[in-house]
Amino acid sequence: MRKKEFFGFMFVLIGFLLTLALFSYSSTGPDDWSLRIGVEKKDGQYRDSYNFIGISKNASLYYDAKDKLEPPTSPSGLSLYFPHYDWGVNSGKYASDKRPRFVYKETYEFVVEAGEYTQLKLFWQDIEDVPENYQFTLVDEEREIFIDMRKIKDYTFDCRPGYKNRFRVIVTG
Amino acid sequence: MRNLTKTGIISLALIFFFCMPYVALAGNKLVILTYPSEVNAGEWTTFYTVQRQDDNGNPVTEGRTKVFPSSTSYGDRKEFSPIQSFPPPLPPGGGGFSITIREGKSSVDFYYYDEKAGNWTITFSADGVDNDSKNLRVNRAEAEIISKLSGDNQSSNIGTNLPDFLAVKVTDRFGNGINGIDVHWSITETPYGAVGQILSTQTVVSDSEGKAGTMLTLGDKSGNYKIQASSSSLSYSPVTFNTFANSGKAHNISMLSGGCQSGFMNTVLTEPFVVKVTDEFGNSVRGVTVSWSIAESPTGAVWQELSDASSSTDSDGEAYATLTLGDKVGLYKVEATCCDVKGLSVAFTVTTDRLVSFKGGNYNMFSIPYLFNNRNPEAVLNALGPYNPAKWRLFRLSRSGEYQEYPNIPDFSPGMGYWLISAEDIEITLEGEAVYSDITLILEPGWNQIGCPFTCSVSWNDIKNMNPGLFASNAVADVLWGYDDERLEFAMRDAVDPWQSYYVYNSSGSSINLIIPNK
Repeated sequence: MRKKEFFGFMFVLIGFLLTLALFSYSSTGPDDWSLRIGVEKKDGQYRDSYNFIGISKNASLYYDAKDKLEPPTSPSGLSLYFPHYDWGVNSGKYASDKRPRFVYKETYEFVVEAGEYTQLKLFWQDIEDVPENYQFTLVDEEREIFIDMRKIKDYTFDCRPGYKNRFRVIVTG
Repeated sequence: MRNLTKTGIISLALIFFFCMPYVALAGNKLVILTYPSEVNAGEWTTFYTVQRQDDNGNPVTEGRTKVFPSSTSYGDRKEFSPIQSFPPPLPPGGGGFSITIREGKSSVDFYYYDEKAGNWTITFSADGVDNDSKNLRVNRAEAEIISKLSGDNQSSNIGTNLPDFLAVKVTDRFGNGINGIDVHWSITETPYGAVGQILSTQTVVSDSEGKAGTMLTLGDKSGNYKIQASSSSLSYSPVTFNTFANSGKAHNISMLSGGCQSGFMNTVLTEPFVVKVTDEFGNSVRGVTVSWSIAESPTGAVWQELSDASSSTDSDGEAYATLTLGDKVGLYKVEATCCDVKGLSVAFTVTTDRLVSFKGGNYNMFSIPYLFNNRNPEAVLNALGPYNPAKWRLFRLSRSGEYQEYPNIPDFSPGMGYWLISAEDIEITLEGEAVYSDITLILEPGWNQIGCPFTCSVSWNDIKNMNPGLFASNAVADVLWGYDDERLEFAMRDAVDPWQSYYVYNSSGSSINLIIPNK
């Protein structure tokens, strides 16, 4: 009877450890990845494509050296940036937003300033290089549109000149 | 016949008469009766008495015996004499001297003189009789002279040992080595700024041969190193050695001049490109072959040509080449490499751009690296015609972070950046004066639009190195945003290039000065 109890306990313990290991692997993946997101005028003229989201083992949830400031908007007014007005003395617009590893979900918010244009295209590059266990959903908050970024590689939308369009990228892993 | 026989008999009788005293009456051996055991170098001995004796040891007084004295000393200045003459009759000395023990005498006296210290054997000999020998010790005189023995005029590479010892010899006045004398070594002259030179020993006691040596490790600068050996109260002290340190292997190539030039198409630049090749300690390296090449030129440009495909560094480590510009305006980059070592190269930037072009319909981010008498944008860009927002507009980022538009913007100045958009493609020829000194830019809090103030590139690293405090404190963010004219978007850059404009961020909250070095 004692022997049966012992083997039963060991079976449950091993199962628990295996489940924990699998969960850990599938939820965190590699320590570093990044995804480039850009915006351009529909005809391809003028763009802002130097923008990155991602995770890095050395990154923090707040400002760190991996977060690069977004340059001022060009006179054309077209710009994509990650707003972080809650970072104290480092508050501002950023061209990259790197965060530490997360367990289940992370949301990256960004703004597209339309400048003098009325139709813009969002695009993202090299999503294939990001581990497959991560899923990306682009959310157009104003238009309430959800896009599976692994299946669709760009998104064109109409906007008003000078308008600030807000988007989110929800990453699950 | 009879006369001949008679003459022969008389001759034989005469020979017998003269020779018999030397042979038959000379006794059977020579014996040294009196002798010295030692003498100081350079002094006469007391006398030697040499006697001829028969087999029974009795003195022999009959006849004549020619006695030949000799010494095993290898000194050049030695002498036998029947008297103590001073100075002795030198040279040649010592060789071939003889003295005769005359009829009626059994002995003769000799004196000996030698300047060579050592233990020698003095022998007296005569024909047909037994010799006799005695040992004599010739003592050294007092230490008197220090002289250079070996190691002078050596050379080796910097930071290495000379191949041979530096050595002196301490002697008495006759050249006999004297042991036990302290010799002090010192480095008395080095190339400016040299460090690392060292002597293996600074005080050396002379050995049994009077030798005292030390080893020199050369310092880190090429040139002359003088070493002195001294010993108090010795004549000719100190003794000076000259040595030379050669530069090491080529380790670095750097631009000396010529890197920030502009000129007209199809002309030879007024200044040559000059590079300097140095070793790891900064010493000039001569005789190194520097290869020259045109690394970049405007699209379609022809006729650009360098004066030399390769040139050799001179005694100052410098090599030269000149460039004839091609037939297109734009940037020409010349690269100098050397020594087959990867990374040993330097690039010169040259521009023919006194002509600036703007693509119509596009926002162009630019700067102008010239000083003008009239810096008003409308005067400088007069080819655009009078200001007309329908034809061209000029912007600049203001302190508030908003764009201000001409005419409400500052006049052109090297180091300031601007935006221009024109209705049509425009090419403007500019006549101004280039800037050759460092430029200090005032950065206001927040983003600043700057320009390259020179007609050559300056790396972001050079700017950071010139302003270490600003970057160490993060007063200036370590990010340089430029504008890609082809893709029409911002891009991160690692250098400021002529005619281009950039954004830099001042996060200090107050105005700061940023120095742009002219390399």
